[in-house]
Amino acid sequence: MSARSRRSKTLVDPELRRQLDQAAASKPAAVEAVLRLRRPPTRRSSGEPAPDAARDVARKLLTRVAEEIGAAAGDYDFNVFPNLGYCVLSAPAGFVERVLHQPEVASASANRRRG
Amino acid sequence: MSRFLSQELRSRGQARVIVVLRAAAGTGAAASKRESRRLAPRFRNGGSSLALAASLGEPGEAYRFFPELGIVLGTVDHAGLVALRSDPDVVSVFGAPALSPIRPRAVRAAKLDKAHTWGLDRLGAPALWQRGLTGKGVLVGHLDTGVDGRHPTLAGAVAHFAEFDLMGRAITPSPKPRDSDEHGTHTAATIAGRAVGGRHVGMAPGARLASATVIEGGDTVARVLGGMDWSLGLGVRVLSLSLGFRGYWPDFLAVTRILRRKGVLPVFAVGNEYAGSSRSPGNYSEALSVGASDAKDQVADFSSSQRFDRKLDPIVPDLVAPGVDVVSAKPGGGYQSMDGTSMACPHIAGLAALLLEAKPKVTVSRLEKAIFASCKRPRSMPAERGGHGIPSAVTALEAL
Repeated sequence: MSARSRRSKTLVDPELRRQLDQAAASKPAAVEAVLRLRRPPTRRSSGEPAPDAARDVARKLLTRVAEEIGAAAGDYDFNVFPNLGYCVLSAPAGFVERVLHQPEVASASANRRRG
Repeated sequence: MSRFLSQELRSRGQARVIVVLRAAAGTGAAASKRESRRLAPRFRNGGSSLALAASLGEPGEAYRFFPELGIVLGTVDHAGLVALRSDPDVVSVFGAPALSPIRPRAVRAAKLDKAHTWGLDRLGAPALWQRGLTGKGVLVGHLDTGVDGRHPTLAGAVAHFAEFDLMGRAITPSPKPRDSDEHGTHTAATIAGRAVGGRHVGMAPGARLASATVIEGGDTVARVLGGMDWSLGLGVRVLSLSLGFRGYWPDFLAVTRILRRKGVLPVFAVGNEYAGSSRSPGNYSEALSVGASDAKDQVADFSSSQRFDRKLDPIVPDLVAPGVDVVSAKPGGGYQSMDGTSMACPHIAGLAALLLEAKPKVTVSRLEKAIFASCKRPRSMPAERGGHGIPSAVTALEAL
């Protein structure tokens, strides 16, 4: 399956896409992505999760992805911004790609811009 | 040549560029390192590149080589750019926009020889002080290069301080307020500097700051998000940002909407790259975008302005405020004068703090509208450059 066909419906900014494609084409390297979280899909309301729920949403999402692809806890790093409903993730490109498919992720962008 | 590059070369005589080397990224590290060394004379050993190299851990180097990417990041003048573009080992050269503080266009030594700086007088802050409004009880978020909390004018002004790492985590234990540069101390004191010897530099001398270091020395989106999240959790009502990406980047768009929804007025500088340019997040419809004016009530020539193809708020900046020859605090003591939209932005953040003390429950939209309604634009100031014009503290209070 090509990288393009694996892409999710999550809004992904072009710079993050470039970094993911570049990382996938070379040796495994960590990609840093800033993720905007949304409330779990079981709830009717959309929008960012409440501050006390954002950490839980991020933790469950990343644990699920790690289990799906067999990644260890040390393979990725993340930090949650609970008041904003955002999370920053540092992980191999394949891990980040899988995270982008998850329903809790509304959009994603690169943490580091060119330069 | 891109607009960014041509503007940089015209205005600064040099530009920050990314040079893509012919050796394939990740596969030709050794070869491309040789190429990068051969290209070294093309780069200027100027201030920007030195600061950049220092931030990347290579102090003294005028450029930085990234072997896995097969690129070189550095600063060039026009001749260096031409030479690079004609070099057979170079595939392409393009401008390198980066998240950065909006650097002042000029910095001068200054003494504080008047009771108020001209900017405070122009906006009418002393008239609100006389009515008992100093911003007391209002917490203002200030994300910048840090702040010198020991400066006399900032004594008691910094309620909270934090530094954030590249993943947006607050560094622990929390250090005492300090400035990694001098930009943050200047902007902080313009918001909430206290009177020293009866002389004022701060718009809201009773307000308090939640000030954080989020920029310089590894400038990532997460650092700024960490500072925003932290300040939101502390209950700020205004967020002053004198930093941004050159051009339009949506990274902070959703966050800016969240700030507004949570009752925080986002006051962002528009940039110092002249007409036809702007920076994000200062160019969002959702931000109160601030440009710079001078003592003659004209838009400073360097002040960015731009029209966007959007229905809501197509012109940035929304307004202009004093941003030329602004005297404020210098780290270590004393004062200095700076020019820039970075200096204009904290004037408006301080104005918002004064108004919020008067009406703590006012909504963000109402507060913003009151500030806009108070603006006057001289006939000589085109709306395309100055937006609504220059606000008045007294009129804004009446419009609340």
